[in-house]
Amino acid sequence: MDGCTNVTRRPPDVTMTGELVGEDRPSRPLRPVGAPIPDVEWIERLTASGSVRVEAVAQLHDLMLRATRFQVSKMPEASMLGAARRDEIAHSAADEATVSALARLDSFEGRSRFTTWAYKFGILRAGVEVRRYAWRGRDIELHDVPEPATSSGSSPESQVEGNDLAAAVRRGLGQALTEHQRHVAVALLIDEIPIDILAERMGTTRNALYKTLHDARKRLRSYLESEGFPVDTLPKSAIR
Amino acid sequence: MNARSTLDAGTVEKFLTVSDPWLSCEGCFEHIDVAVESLLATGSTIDEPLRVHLVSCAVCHEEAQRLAELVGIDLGLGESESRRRLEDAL
Repeated sequence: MDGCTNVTRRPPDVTMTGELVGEDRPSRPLRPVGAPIPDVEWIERLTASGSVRVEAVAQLHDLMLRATRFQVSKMPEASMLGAARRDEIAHSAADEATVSALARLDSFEGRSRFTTWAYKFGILRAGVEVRRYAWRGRDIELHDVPEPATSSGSSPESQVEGNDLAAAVRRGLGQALTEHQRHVAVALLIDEIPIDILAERMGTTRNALYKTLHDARKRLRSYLESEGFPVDTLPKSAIR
Repeated sequence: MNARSTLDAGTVEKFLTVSDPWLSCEGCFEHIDVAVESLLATGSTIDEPLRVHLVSCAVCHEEAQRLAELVGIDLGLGESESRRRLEDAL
């Protein structure tokens, strides 16, 4: 037990940013209104015992709720859900994020602010929850390779090059990738199934699927190189 | 059944995205708070493995955008400016 358990306490006054406005622990002076909780204090209090820890965990949960509500409010997948459902998801994600962060408290090295470190747990959990909800009851089918579209390049030459490249990519998907790699790559990049949802349905992990996609992309580029396409001039990056 | 698209130029580009140097989604999660905060607070660059991962992984990219927006609010930069700085760094 800490030394504060017999002190008469009022409920903590915490702002939306997790700032403790006034705390009555005798060992610390009152913090000015609006002043953030120092990182070291977060850790001290979250690793304490008794009411100090209970209070700190409640403040961490408030911080998580800020992150989860923010993430939910920004996700297009959540826009079709009612306000009550969105809030329910935000709370549920904040609960899970708080537990995750507490379990990994020793990985906080102080290289970012504690609030930034904590937000990432809330954002991750809220994203997972919203996508899970949005995809609930939807079948996921693993498809094979689609037909190339006709290129709409600016010149006849670029149209031909675009068509040749798309045709070669299609051949590469069929010849250079394993069936598993092909299904994963098509599901993620063409059907645009979120990676965590696909992982859940396939009984694997986000990491494992990203590795599969990574290997598939490497094999595809090698195939194109062997087919005479100058890979150095091929696009190096695209979001997704 | 999911909406399907054909192999158009944009899709071909997604298939050919270079995802080396390798970083897992877990590794991305491990480093993203420091990277985003440093970028927004001091203008530092994003390490290459993390930058490549954010370009190659749609879900991690979206989560990084959200983190940048939220941290940007705390830093007084605003959401859109913070998102722009992240996108410029990628």
